[in-house]
Amino acid sequence: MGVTCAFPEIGFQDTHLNVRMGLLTMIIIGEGVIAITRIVNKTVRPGGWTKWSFVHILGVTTSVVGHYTPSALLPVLTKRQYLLWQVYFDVSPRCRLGRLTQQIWAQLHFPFHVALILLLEGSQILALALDVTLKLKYLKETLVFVCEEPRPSADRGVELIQSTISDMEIPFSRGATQEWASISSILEDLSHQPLCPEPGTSSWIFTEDLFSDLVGNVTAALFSSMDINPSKQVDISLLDSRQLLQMYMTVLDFVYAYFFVVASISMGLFTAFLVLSRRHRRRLYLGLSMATRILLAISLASLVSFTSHSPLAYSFMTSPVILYAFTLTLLTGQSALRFSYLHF
Amino acid sequence: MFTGRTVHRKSCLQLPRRLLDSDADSHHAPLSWIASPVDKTNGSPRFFRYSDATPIELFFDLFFVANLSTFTATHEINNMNALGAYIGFLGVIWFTWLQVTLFDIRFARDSVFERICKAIQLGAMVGFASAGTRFTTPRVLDENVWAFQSLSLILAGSRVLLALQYSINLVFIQPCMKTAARGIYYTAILFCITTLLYVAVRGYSVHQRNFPPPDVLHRCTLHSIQPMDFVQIYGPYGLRFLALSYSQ
Repeated sequence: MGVTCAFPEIGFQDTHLNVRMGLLTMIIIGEGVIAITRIVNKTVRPGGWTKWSFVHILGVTTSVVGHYTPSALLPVLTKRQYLLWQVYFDVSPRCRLGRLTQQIWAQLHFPFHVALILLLEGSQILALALDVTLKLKYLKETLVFVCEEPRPSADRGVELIQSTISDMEIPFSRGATQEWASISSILEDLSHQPLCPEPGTSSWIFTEDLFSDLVGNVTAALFSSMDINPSKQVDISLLDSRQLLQMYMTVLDFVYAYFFVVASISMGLFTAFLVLSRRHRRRLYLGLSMATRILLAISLASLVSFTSHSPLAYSFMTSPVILYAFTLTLLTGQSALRFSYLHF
Repeated sequence: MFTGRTVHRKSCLQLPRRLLDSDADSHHAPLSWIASPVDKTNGSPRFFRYSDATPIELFFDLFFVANLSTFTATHEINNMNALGAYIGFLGVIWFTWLQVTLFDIRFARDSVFERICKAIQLGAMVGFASAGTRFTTPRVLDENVWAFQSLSLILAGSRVLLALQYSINLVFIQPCMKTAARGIYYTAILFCITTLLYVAVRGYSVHQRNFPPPDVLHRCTLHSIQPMDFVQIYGPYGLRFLALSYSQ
């Protein structure tokens, strides 16, 4: 590329480099779409469609899917646009660029593609972590259900718990063999004693401990299957199920941080593309679009500060809102673009 | 001066432009062994240009994404080391993709030679996928050293092939487009230097079971390689960081 600056005869201005870059961007986004369909399958297959699985999947899907998001879920609406795709192609050049501009535009695609890939990868890990919380929610609901009136028989209750765990399809062979042994032993213990003893009795305390251990082991197994393990200094046997989940979410702080950092970088790069592509000549329009995107980039970066306050980060990471954060920013950016286009 | 010309072909079949463009050569003439990138039909010599991506270019893009997919499947990015490895590997495959693309969009025309070259570049992409599974940072384990060594060799092979492709085009361009030929000549030389650097990295690693200290590659890069290739060097540049931790 440096040589082409000195020898414009072999430059890229009259080539289809922009088309190739655009196609590669689309293929990279496509790779993210494949991952999303896998997550959808993973979330829905065990328990079918529920209110929460719908909210989670909607969040994951809108990370890349655009204005007509429900179309991904409702076949009636066939039109589907991808927000990332749309934002990118809205700021792609439509005419021949200057020599230097063309160089900068092409070279910025390396950080852009890296940011895009990390963004998609990060959103997948965060979605899987949310999927874990969803599965744990189902397990806790089952534990409550087996002791609710009309109470099922003890054997039926244990069977229900067992089937909830097997529905999670945890690959125990991937570093969770100990957890599998503990879960089997707890289920065995539960089947040999009253499942729902009177509150306050010693049996009740024992059963409560067994339930807590069961949830803890399932939590550890779910995260181990994602290749997420606690640091060796932490003795997880001393933690209850909630503390364990909190500890694993702290491990995911890094993913959370880089997700929002790359989201912010992507937004910044979209601003740079907007300036380089010069799709619109009106200064006020350009200025407004740029200012909005820069503000959004700053606000995305500021979300990283949540990691310094663990409870806040934990609440955010266990809520589906995290999946909508980037989507909403993209939508705001696009809306600003449309608004300024129409009014200025 | 505008030196390019978009290829437009008329055909009785209403095929999409992409197909017309890509098949243009084969519609009118049998596949040649080697094709010139220069179009002399309108008097002054110009480069042939495609307005859209050709099928073989799209096929090459698929290999890029397959590489990415394999790497993602074997690496979870949940710590700084994994992130470093991910960006390092992306650098290797992205800049290889870019270098091949920059040649294709300007000089590639369908011919037996080009098809063989493309097959080799696709093979290099498969090689990256194979080495990528062992691409871990910051420590290079003994059992993974082969992956880094083969990565250097594959990079060297890919760049020497590009040097060859540019050199062969030089033969066609030299007689009629002197200035452009000079640019291509320098590009080919730069690819040769890059190849030597990659071979040196490989040789040094075999000899020392390690990689060169940062300043060697840094100096070579800054002084002899174009700015874009400096970034392209990010592949072994990343390896340097691994080497540092490895040596510690």
